[in-house]
Amino acid sequence: MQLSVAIEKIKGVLVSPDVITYEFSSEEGKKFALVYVDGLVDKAQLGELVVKPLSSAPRGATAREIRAALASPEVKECSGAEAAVKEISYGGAALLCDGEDTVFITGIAKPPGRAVAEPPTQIAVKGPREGFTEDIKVNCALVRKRIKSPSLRMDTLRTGRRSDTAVTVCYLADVCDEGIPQKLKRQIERNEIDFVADSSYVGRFVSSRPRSLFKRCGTCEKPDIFCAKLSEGRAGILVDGSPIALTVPYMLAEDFQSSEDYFISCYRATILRVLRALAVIAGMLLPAVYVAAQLFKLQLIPFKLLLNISSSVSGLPLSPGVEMFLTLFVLEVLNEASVRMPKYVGLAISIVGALVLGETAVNAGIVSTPAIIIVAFSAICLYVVPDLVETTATLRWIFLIIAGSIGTFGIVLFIGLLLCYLVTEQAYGVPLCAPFSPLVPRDLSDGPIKRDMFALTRRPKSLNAKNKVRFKKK
Amino acid sequence: MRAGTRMQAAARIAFMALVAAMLFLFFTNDFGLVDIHKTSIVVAVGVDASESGYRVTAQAAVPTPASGEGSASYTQVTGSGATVADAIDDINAKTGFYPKLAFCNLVILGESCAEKQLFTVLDYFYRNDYVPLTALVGICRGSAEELLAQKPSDGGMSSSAIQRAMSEELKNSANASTINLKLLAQDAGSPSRSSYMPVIKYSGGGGGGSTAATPAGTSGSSDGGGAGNSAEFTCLTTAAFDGGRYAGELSEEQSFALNLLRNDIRLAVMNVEHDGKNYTVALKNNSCKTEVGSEGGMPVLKIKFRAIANVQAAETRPAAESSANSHLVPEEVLAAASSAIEQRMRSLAEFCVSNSCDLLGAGSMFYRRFYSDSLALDGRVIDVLKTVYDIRVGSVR
Amino acid sequence: MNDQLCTRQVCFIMSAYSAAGKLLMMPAVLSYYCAGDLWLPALALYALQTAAVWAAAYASSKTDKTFFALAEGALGKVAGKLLSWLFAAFFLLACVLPVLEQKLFVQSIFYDTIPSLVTFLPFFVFSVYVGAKGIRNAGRVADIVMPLFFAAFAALVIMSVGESDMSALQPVLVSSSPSRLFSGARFSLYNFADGAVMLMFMGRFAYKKGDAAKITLSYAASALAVLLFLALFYSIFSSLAPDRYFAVGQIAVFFPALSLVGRVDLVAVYAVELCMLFALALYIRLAVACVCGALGKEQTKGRNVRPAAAVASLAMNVLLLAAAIIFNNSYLVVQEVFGRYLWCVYLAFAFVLPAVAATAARFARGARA
Repeated sequence: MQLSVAIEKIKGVLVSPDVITYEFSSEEGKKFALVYVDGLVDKAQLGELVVKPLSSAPRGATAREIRAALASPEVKECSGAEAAVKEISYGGAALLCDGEDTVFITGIAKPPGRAVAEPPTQIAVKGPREGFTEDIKVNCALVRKRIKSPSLRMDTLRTGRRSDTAVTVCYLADVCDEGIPQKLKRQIERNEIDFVADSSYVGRFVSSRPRSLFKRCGTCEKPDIFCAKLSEGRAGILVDGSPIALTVPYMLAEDFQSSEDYFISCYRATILRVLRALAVIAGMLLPAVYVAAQLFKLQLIPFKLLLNISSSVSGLPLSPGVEMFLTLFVLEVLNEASVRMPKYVGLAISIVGALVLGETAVNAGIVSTPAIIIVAFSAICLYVVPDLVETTATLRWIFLIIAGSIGTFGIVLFIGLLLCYLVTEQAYGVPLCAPFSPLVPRDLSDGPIKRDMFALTRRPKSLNAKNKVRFKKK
Repeated sequence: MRAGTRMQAAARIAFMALVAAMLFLFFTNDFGLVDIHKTSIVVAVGVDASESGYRVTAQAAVPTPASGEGSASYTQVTGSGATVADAIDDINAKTGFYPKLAFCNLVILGESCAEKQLFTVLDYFYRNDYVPLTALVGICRGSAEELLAQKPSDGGMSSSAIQRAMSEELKNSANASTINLKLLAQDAGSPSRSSYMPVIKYSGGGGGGSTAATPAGTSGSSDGGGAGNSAEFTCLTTAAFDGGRYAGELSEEQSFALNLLRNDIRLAVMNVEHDGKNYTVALKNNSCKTEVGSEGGMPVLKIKFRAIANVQAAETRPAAESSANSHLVPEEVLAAASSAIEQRMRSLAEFCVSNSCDLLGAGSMFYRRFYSDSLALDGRVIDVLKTVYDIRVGSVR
Repeated sequence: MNDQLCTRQVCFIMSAYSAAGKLLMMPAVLSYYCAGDLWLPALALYALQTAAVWAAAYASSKTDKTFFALAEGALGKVAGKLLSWLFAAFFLLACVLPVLEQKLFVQSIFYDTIPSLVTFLPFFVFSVYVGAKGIRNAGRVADIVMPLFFAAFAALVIMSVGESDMSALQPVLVSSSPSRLFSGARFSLYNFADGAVMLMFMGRFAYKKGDAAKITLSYAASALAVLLFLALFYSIFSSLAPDRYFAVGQIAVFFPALSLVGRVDLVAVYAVELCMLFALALYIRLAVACVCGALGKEQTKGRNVRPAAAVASLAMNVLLLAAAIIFNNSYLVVQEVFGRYLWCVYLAFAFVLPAVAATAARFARGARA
């Protein structure tokens, strides 16, 4: 095929000024053209590994000779403009040769992206600090850097009608239940969407109940956690463009575990796990119980504290429920604003929130001091387990409404309902509430309590891994 | 499949209706329930009997606006009615606040209540599920309303001062015959049928204001404390009841003996006279065991008391033989202490026999251990009771 | 056979759920009739009921059929279906008095003042949902609720033991007449449907050797806990005991630390209440399972609630709600009817039928050696 015709074909599809065509000839007059997307390709390498070697190509060089001349370590051959267009979009540079039908795609992509850094949501005082980036290749490399086992599988597939986003399913072939990656791939392929902006989209694709308040995939931003989960028998999902990796099967208990638990003393880790659980329970229930106690059961409050609370709420124009509703509403607004606002405005918002809204509202007699203390404490408590905040913050609202309507009885009933709902829910064959329900005594040693590394000789039974032994002494 | 879809749709509609109902309840927030804004937190209740029924005085903690520094203001309101419950309803009607008794830790009976059946007066407190059975009970000279109106020396609520006079510490040192609603009823409902409660007395005082039964009653706050005549409350004597009827008042010594018998005493202090000199002796490691036996079908109560004593103060400073430790108690003083305790117990037993009021609990013990003998005595164990004392007080070493 | 439960879950249900329901009115009722001998009728009932539970567990060891399948095999299809409907009616009946008790208990421990019936109505929403969720879900819930219940129960016992005076239980056996003891047993019998519950688990768990002993022992352990609770309750309240309804909510109020920290015992009481709610809902689950079984639409697999179960659960709860409204102020009348007339229904379903099932399973065709 003539070079100009081939270029025309590709340019006909990729009609955009950022698609650059660079035509050049060898010393003997053989014509070539490189088509690539500006900004996605490392131009220096392109010159060094493609253009320079081809400058000495003979006029009648065949496709095989041209292929041999290329110094680029990653060269793919494809025939036809459509395939070439796809590869160009992924960041490859298409090499067209005059008189040849074959198009060579050189893998010297260098898309813009940030460097590997510590993720803001999973900071560890002790332990590795590398975090995933938005580049799936970097992320895969970070995983491979930690797991050198040949059984590590990274099956890449693409989803998104227009974004054509790469999704890599990672698992250890000799550990993970083989049904899990297969089902994952099926689930991902079954969905067709225009654009996959983040891994959370894929999270919904692979979930059996995507509308549920409770997620069905674990999330992590650090390759060390990701690899640890793979080695327990889970499968992981990396999505191009997202620094958040997904893991399945997911159990509620795993959000109460932190990577640091495995690096510090098991006693301290156990205390921290219990603390996290208590903090989340307190964060969800405290505003509700406070309202229920004031409205329906004063005895829940110690007498002297009741006198103080009674003093604080005396003369307030709002009922206890509405007062708490308002305070929580303000907290959520401040939270939302401070996350979205630029940093310098965020500081102003904090001052306005803390001083103006907080103190002035108390002085003006709109809300009481205990209500503000409780809401603030509740907010802090929920962020002890940041991965669950979406769920727990929503539940906090529900508990508040129920407590303000029917009191502590409502709270107990709703806990019962939640329990009833959660115990039979499962993700990829693993119950969400495992190892508590169904009770797996052995798995409790890395659940609410954290036993030392030598005691965790076997992989979690709940995950039904192929290879059961995790640790043994030689 | 269609049925499943229909069910899901129905569930969704039901869920929406439920959410709407919850939100409605949340924001309207009333189905006859009484929240903190409409409540007065009653901390003490005084009951006086009158010819027309009862007068109930409720002392309630009053919340002060948030600017205060946790002050303990209170208000006192009196209501009257044919029964105690009626009188409490009267308080509700007068103040508009619903009197919640969940925190009521003190029930004071006026002297007039002694003429009535005790459990007729207290019936309301046992019937009401929301009154804690842990509330302390006491009786006073004069009217309960007047007693509650007294201003204690710390300027706080009189009920707090009275509760301090009936505290666990004083009970455990045998100084107050503290009792709560539960124990009172249990004693009265036992085969002994006898119960007791401390007699609350106050000295000084003169009232924290008018005690007239005005709708608003009297009120006060900690801010104004200390001014004027302040009252001091004591509960050193004990009122005895038999079958719910007032049987008499135990002296301080008899009350002391009763406390040794009925309560778990940790440290009791008593004065002993020997050789014309006063010794104040502290009794530690007290162990008072009462055991009932049957001799020919007749009850015999064995009281075994053991304690270790040390001298806390003496008019002369005695030193035990061959010891320089002044807290060691001479044998003579120990004997005097034992004798004093025995004398107090005998006095208590005499009171019980003379008033047919089994505060010793012999009837209950006899019933439990010698059921058939007890039936034969038709419950009047105290009238034929023989008491044996084994009292020994040793010195610390 | 469809294994909806594992042996552990059966043990948990037979221990926690069976104990929870007996901590409300039974202590007061038994105190009223038998005073300090309150443990005696309870012991007798428990002994019989333990035997019934063992009989049902023994029947499970002999066949992997459900009770109704066994009945169908022995008596024919019509009789099997009839028995299903009868058991559904029995479990519904077994809910009536406990629901009224729950209502009173909720009003007593969750509220400072007596609220209207409206506050209790959300229970039926809970009950509809839980009832429709099936037996597998009951087992899973028991995995979490059982430890919670026994931890709360232990906390309450520890908080209350200091106030007890065990001598209040004396004299033993002589103070109550046999007729009073019998009345106590008769009026408490409505709490004992455990034999019938165990019958429903027949064929719904994979029986392994020794499971009958495990199940019976776990039931006996819970019986021991309840008997201890009864003794503790009477030793704390003695003469006041008959008036102290809802023992579990009242037993720990004398713990000295509560005067400083407030009613923390209520946290334990609420945990016990959670178990009580599930224990009550278990009857509805079983009634729903019976109805669905009779209609041939029992749900044994999967998580999604089937329409038949949802409709059955809704219908059951509508009936219960109607009973709760009609008898809202007539608890004592209902209690009297149960104690005087309906006790024989319990005797038949929870005591006699398990024995019959054990005999039938022993001699049924295809029985395991």
